[in-house]
Order: sequence, then structure tokens, then C-alpha cells
Amino acid sequence: MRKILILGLKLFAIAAVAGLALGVTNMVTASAIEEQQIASADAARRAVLPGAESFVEQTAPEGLLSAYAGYDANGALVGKTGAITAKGYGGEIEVTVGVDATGAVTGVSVGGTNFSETAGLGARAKEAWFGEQFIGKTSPISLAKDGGEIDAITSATITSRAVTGAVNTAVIALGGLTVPTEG
Amino acid sequence: MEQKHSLQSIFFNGIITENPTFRLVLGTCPTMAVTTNATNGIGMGAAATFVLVGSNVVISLLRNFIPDKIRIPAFIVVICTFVTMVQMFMNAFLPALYQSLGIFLPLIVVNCIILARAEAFASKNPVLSSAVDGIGMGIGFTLALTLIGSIRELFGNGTIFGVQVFGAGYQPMLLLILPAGGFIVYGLLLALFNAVSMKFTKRKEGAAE
Repeated sequence: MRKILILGLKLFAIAAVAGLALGVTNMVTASAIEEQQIASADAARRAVLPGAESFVEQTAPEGLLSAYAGYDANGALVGKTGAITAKGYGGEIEVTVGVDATGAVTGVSVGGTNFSETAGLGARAKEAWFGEQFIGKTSPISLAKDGGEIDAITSATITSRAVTGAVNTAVIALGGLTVPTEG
Repeated sequence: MEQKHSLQSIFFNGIITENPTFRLVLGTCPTMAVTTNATNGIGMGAAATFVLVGSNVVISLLRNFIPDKIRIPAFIVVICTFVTMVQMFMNAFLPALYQSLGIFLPLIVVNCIILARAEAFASKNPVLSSAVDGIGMGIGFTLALTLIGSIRELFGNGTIFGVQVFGAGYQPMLLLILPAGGFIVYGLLLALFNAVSMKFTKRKEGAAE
């Protein structure tokens, strides 16, 4: 009985120190991680909507995680951006889409913190050439093998279809979103 | 591991004699999963090396405190703590590396090389030797992953570290990037490594006679 108690107490001590260490690490890193995520979301918005200097958050239309209106240095509306999640091959994929005033795509960014597509296959959706295919397109957008114009990534049709579908949904949702013309 | 080994032999032990991937055949799951290209191999190897050295040092320090009966849960707690800390720090201060390692980072917890070295080495040896063992094993693991990753990337995608090698006309052998190709490349390298080391052992025995 005494022996078991000692074993339990020792394991408890190790776990307690480990917990404490993790708590301290979390305290040190939490704010930095949050800033990092805000910065990377901001970078994704800038990348998909070239020319926009400032972004104002809008009420997200149904189906989107968030929506922003982007304005240039003079405060004139450049376009809108929306973030959406798609169900990929390995998990959730976060897709950020930018559209201009006419509803045409200005850029697509693929990634997100839960991104876990297969390296060398689905993960190639992050490569620039794949996202660049969407630029200038208007809804409906679909893969070439589904009758559209987007080339799928070789051997990663599920990922390609998920991203393309997400872009299409986001373009439609952003098209229905009215934002102030000056920011 | 009873007798004292020199630090140098401990170091090279992990790289050649007991290479975790080719000799001990440990950590094969992450090996298969990440070696679709050379860069991933290096990234995973470096992160695992860091955790390996850290956990070896801590477990070696605690080796007289941890009772034998609960050593496995104690080791696991230490390793998990280390991986989680690395993950948080990387996420906060090295976001680019964190993004590129992605899912592989938490996978280090289930990398049995780390638990195996804790059990077989760090829990029985002083701190310095354990740290050197961690470094040696880590380098051995990194080299193995990079080698497998380079071969799979070269033939499966025509590139190494993302640089075109075969030119645009090359039709990639996609099979090698897929899981089946991982097993094939790993199996062939394992056979090669065995053949070479058997030859060495024979030569040594021949010299001794």
C-alpha cells in the first residue's frame, strides 16, 4: 500500500512539474501565437486582394468564417475577402479568397492551422500556380474534369475539388455581401 | 550498455552501428509519412533530434528519481511535455518552420525512437553521454529521412529539395511519392544497408582470425 502511494506521488510530482512547465510556456507564447495568427491572416488578405491597404471586418455571410472589405490608401473600395473552410483529404483546409468590385477573383490563399494534406500531393494546393489559376474567374468555378477551367493537382483530385468548391462558394457568398464603398 | 563507452563511440553508434532507421528499424511510421520529399525529411529529423536530446537529458537527470515500475508513464509525460513546448515556441517565434512542419511536429510524441532511447540509454547513463546519444541518434535519423526523402522526391517528382533535376520532360514515377513507394524505397535501402554491414562484419571476423 505504502509503495503504491509513493509511486503515485512520484508520478504526480512529475506530471505536476510538467503541467507547470507547460503552463509557463503557454503564458510566454500565447500572446505571440495570437499576434502571429492575426498577422498571417492579415498577410493572407493582402496577398489575395492586391492594392488594398486597410481591411474592415464585415458581418460574415452564411458559409464564410469571416469577411473583410479592403480599401486602398485613399479609402476607396478595392474589393472583398472571405475565409472559408473546406473538407480536404486529410482534414480541414482554410481558403482565403479575394474578389474585386465586379465579383472576379483577385487571389486565392490556401492553408490554415489545421492544414494536413499529404505532402507532395494535396499539399501542393499551397503552390502558387494552383491558386493563380483562379485569378480573373467568376462563379461558377469548377475543375477542368468537372467541366470548368481549373486544372487539378495530379493525383490530388479530392484536395483540388475541395479548394475549388470552397472558392466558388466564397465568391458567391461575397457577391451577395454589400459593404461600404469608402473606408 | 553496462561498460563505459567513449563519447565518440556513442555519437557514431547512433549514426551507423545502431542507426535508428536502418539498423533498429524504429520510428518507421513517421519515416513513411514525411519522406515524400527531402525538405520534409530534414525538418522532421531536426525537430525529432531536438526533442530527443531534451528528453534524454531530462530523463537522465531523473534516472534515480523515477521508480522502475512507473518509468514508462514518467518517460511519456516528459516526452509529451517537450514536444508540446517545442510546438508552442515554434508556433510563436518560428511561424514559417511551424507551418512547413505542420502535422509532423505533434507526431514526434509517437516516434518510438525517443521512448526507446529513454528506456535503453538515458535511464541508465549519465547526462553528458545521454545528450551525445541523443545527438548521434538524431543525426542518424535525420540522415536516413533525408536520404529516403531525396530518393522519393527525385524519382517521384523529378526534383531534390524542390530543384528540378531531370528537366521538364521527365515523367515522374508518382508511385514513389505514394505510401507504397515509401515501403519499396525503405525496403531496398534496408537491404542495401544490411548487405554492406554484413560485408563489414565478415571482413572484421576475417581480420581477427
